[in-house]
Amino acid sequence: MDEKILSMKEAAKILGCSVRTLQRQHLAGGLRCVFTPGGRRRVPENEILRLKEEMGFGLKTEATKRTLRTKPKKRTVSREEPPIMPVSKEEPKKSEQIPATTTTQALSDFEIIERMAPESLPMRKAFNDLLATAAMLETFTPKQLLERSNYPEQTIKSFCDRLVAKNFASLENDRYTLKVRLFR
Amino acid sequence: MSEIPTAPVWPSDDPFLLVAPMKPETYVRVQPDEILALKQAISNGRVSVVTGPLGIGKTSLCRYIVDELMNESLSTSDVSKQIVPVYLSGAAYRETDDFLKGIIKELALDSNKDRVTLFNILTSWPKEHKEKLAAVIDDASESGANVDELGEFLRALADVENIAIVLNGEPKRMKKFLDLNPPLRDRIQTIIELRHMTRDELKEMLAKRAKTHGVEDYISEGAFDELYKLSKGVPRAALKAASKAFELARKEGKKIDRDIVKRANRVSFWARLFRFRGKKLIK
Repeated sequence: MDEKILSMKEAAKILGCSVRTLQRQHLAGGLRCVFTPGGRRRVPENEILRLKEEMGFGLKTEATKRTLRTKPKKRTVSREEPPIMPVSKEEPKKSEQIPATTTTQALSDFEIIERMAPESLPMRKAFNDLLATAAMLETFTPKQLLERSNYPEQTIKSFCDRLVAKNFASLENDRYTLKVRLFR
Repeated sequence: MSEIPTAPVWPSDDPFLLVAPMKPETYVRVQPDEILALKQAISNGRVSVVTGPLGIGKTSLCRYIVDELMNESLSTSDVSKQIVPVYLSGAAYRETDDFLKGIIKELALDSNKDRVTLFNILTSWPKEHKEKLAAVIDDASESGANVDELGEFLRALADVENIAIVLNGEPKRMKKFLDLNPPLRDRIQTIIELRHMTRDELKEMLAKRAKTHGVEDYISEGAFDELYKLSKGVPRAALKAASKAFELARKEGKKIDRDIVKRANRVSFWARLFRFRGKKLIK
């Protein structure tokens, strides 16, 4: 614990840089500091020796090198954009294939209800409300829909039947699972 | 001889919860004549207004009417008798266009069109549809939309045959809103001012709520008296007080009586003093 501790000003003088530079270094994580009870930075002597060895000229410590390295890298990326383009073109193709393999279609609620062909306008509105509830639950029983809405049982039953008939949902042990995703 | 259990078995969920999805069977028709008049106005395609103080049940009435109209229309096959109610919560909409889109979306029609096309769907409603449309706008005066614009939009809707409008809002704000839109105010047919509940109506409401959870026997007459006294006939306040009493009664394993209600809703002397002075209470 006999280590000598220097003030920032002294350290800056030894290293030949400004106090501000050292402060910035500390914030970037390139300089280990000790704090006085008053909240001022103090630099241990061995830390200064390490910095001197590490940098030679200027204050390019590992931390600053890291930050400096990233900037030119960004530029090279922007310059090399044309060769990257084909890669990024392929990616959407892959993502297009994903829904086909998992068989989840994304349709708007309007399209789904149109295909379910409700007979009347009130029915259409009821289906719309029920579809929103069903989409929230994902897997549901008719009883759950009945609890969450005030529609008659008959309407809910025909809604569930039509979902299965149009292949928008699958039925297993009285539980319906939606096969489509809604996008709004 | 069957013994009456002294310690009631309370359910874990609160029957008096404010946010509970309201079922038609728990609704109490407070002013049946006026509700009938409102329904008549809707079926005639007129403009009506529902006002009343805070927590009196304006939104509940609107929801109840929407559900009832919906169920009635679903049960009849006569197209001209069908009414399609659309419930919009005014506070959720910032612009008049959103109201327009909201109505179209609620009807499950394609809303991805420009506003002129959407508006034409509504103005040509009587030509293309035989069903009636009822736009129930909750908290209409509290919406963030431009007052003049919204008023003009509603006025245009009111002129369309077969489209009824129900506006709902707090009396002062509603008056301000309508004062700024005289053409709309002139078209109003019925105004319903909801009043405070009487003791019997309040009791009926609380008993109906309790019945859905099978705890109607656990509440004494004295408790109803006390709840009425505390809430002054405002349903929301009564439900809140009953909810507190329910929590306390469940904790202590007792029935809800006058004492439980009093203890659960006790306000300290200091709090009462500060409330009297109109200062904000931080508990």
